[in-house]
Amino acid sequence: MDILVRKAKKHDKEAFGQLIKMYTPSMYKAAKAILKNDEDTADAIQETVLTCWEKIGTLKKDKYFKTWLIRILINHCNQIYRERSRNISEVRLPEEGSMEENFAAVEWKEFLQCLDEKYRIVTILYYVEGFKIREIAQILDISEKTVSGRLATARDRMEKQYMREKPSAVIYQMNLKRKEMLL
Amino acid sequence: MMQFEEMMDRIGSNNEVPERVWKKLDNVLNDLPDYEEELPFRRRGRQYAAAAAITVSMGTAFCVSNPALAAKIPFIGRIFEEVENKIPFSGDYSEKAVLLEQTAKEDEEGNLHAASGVAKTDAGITFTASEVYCDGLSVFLTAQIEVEQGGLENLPGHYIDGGDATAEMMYLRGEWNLPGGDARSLSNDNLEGKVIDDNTFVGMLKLDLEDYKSGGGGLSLRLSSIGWDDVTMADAESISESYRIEGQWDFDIPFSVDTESVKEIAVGQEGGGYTLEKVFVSPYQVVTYVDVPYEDREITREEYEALAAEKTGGTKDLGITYEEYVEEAGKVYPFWNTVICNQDGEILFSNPEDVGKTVAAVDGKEISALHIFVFDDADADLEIEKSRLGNGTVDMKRAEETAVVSAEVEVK
Repeated sequence: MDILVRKAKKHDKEAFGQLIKMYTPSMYKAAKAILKNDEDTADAIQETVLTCWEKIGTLKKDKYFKTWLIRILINHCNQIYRERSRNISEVRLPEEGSMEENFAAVEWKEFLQCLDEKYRIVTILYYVEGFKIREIAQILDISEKTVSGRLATARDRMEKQYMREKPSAVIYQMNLKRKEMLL
Repeated sequence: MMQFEEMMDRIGSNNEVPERVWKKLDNVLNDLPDYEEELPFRRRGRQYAAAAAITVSMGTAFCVSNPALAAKIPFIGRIFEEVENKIPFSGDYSEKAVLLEQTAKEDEEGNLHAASGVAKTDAGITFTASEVYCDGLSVFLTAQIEVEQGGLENLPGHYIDGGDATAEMMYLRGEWNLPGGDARSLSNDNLEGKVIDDNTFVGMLKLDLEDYKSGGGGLSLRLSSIGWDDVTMADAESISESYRIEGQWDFDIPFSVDTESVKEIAVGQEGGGYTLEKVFVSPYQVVTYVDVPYEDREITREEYEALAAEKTGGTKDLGITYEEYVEEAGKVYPFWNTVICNQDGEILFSNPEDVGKTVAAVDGKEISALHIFVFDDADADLEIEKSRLGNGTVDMKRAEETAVVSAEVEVK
């Protein structure tokens, strides 16, 4: 990984491309946790890639590339979020989705609907991306205490939501199995 | 609680990114603007005299013992002790380091102030050099930085290699050289250590020497700016160096080399045109030298002059001659990287430096033997670095199969 970062810092396009693609799933989850739709998420990732390419020479420590990348992404997401909030009359087309969504996809949707953006992002960064609380505080420019507090609140709300909705998730699975049997 | 975490695990394990997102990403990656690589110009012709003595007589200046100065500048003289296990290239330096001779001046009220020889103040920042140590491969210098404006308590910590330990960092720019040597820029050379209070930072600076040095010398250090991060700054794109203070802090610091600590081991292992020539091992670092094959690139005088015109806005004076430029830029090197492990397969975190030279941190690992792998292929190299198994060791069998050179070197 460090080698790719070193080469990317010398503006090696191939190395940079490989690096970005490796982190795209992480960027996607973090951006979607804020923006909730794929179109804005794609825009945020696009802007992030351009900013990174321009500024990668300023990255001091190679091993903090991911932290640095996600921080830039969050800023672009916040920008898009603010712009979108100003254009509330804009019509958003419904997300295209697969008819045969898996359980994880269903849970992902539940997660997006159940929590506010500020709780979603700390949850994704901590549980999914594995950042430490201190790193999350740096990425989001908030105190470590605030990060811990938001994580606790997110868990609490999700626990209640998940426990309440688990029966419906179970029923969903049962329906899938029933469908398979019929076919 | 477990159900929530299980759910987050499932969300995390789903790596599907929609096609439309990949498409937009591909478009931007295929259309990245070009940047020219900065070529490493070495300055020549600026030779410096041997280091001057560091004690400066200033009227009422006199040597004081540590306890007296300790009242004013408590960390001076024991910064190694304070930071040595908290930084990259950690190790036990404090017993071997030399305390820089501190002098002090008494003002009219009878207050002691740190010496002008090892303490310099400019632009509201006082930089005080404290201790020095040299293992022949690098010069390790500790220092205290006092910032009048404060704000150092907002310095973010960075995780250092391997564990949960953190260190803070202050960024230094300027130049340094040894007697008779070329001036070298401070680029990624930072003071790593810890914040003491809102105005005070202590840390260690590691300056790598070009080649192993067995005799003593003098370090001439000329700082032109000191910078640091501030976690409260909103400008996320400049994640580092929220503040940069320009100034002048010049030092001449004599040192002797701890020749007993360093072992030089000739290797001479060849493969695919690459040769692992030698290894140096000290208690703090391992340095390997590889002879990397290269191709000559023809550089015409017209190309040199065009580059000079572009970089200098038409003055055509690059600061180096055409012949020197050909020497620097006329060699095209292929990919190379060296992976260094101890006898147990634990990888030593490293950075390649000049072509063929890799510097790796010992960080307290036991070393009775080294397994060294030189790669000429980025994918093979990446595969091995990612192969780190559950216990932090690499797949050495695979490394031997895919490296262009592999060697086992007995150290003890």
